[in-house]
Amino acid sequence: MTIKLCTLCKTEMIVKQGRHGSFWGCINYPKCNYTKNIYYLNKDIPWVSASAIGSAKFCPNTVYLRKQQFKQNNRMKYGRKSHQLASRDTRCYIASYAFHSQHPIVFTLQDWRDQTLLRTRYGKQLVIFYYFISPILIKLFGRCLWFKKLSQYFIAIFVKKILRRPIC
Amino acid sequence: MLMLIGFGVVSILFYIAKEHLPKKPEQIIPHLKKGKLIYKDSTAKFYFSSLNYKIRAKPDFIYKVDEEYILVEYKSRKGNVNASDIAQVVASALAVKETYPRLVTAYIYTLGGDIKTINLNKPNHHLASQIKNELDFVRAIETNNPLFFNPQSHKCKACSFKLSCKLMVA
Repeated sequence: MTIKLCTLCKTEMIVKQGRHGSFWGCINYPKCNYTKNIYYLNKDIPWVSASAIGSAKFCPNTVYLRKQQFKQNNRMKYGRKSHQLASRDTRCYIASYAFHSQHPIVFTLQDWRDQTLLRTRYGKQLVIFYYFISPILIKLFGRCLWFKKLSQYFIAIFVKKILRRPIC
Repeated sequence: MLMLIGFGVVSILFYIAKEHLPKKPEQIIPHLKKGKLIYKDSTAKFYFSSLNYKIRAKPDFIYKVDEEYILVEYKSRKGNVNASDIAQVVASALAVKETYPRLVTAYIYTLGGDIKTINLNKPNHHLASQIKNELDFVRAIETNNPLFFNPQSHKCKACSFKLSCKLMVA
């Protein structure tokens, strides 16, 4: 522990008890009445911010949770939504339309979406665009046989070439 | 006719925007009009610090009026001024008082129009005694010795860490 020196007489300072609590006082008290706050120059006591004190007045747990980098409610909800989209979402409009919802190609495309596309920013945008455009296309051309055949053909090529693994 | 409708829509939008935009402290507190703005949070590159209490703060505005300093804190919510805002201002005042000892008053105002005046013309240890518990809590957290606190249910409704807190307790 470092010894604190009085700035006036350059002698040692000691902790004393006063009316309003403890404080640093000079050891040569009657001769030198230099005093300092108990927190002064104490390196063991951390610096705190005024906003953290305000948060602690509301609830000290929030200060602790923020320091431990816990997420706020809205971010948790967003995180939960994205997790649901990644893990439980079974939408795949055109592929489900062209084949059927339990076809291996649909499962492969869903895996590719969850493991590759949703991990990148542009991939997420592509998924959002796909979910926007595919119901419209199916509503317009859903009853046409040529659209079904064409989408089957292109999806099969896409799955073979992009994923580079055999489709049963 | 179309011009009139357009003018009406624009004026309604302008009124809504005016209601939602933050107001300057001089508009809320007329007493500050004759003073001079000497510190602004958004442009300042330093913060005030109290060596005695080890508190750092960046208050929103500091005005100098008749050789006396006035601290102004703005809250961007529409509700009333809370006890947590007052604690924050008292802590800021302790930090600012080391630079400007003649800090006498603080104003807190919200976007909803609620204003609270705090008298800071007291000795520092009186101000510090107001926030003693909070200081102890935050210091304990900073030194990784958190003192767990049982929150009040009415506060939990408005808490932004409610879900994380429930997970921590579970």
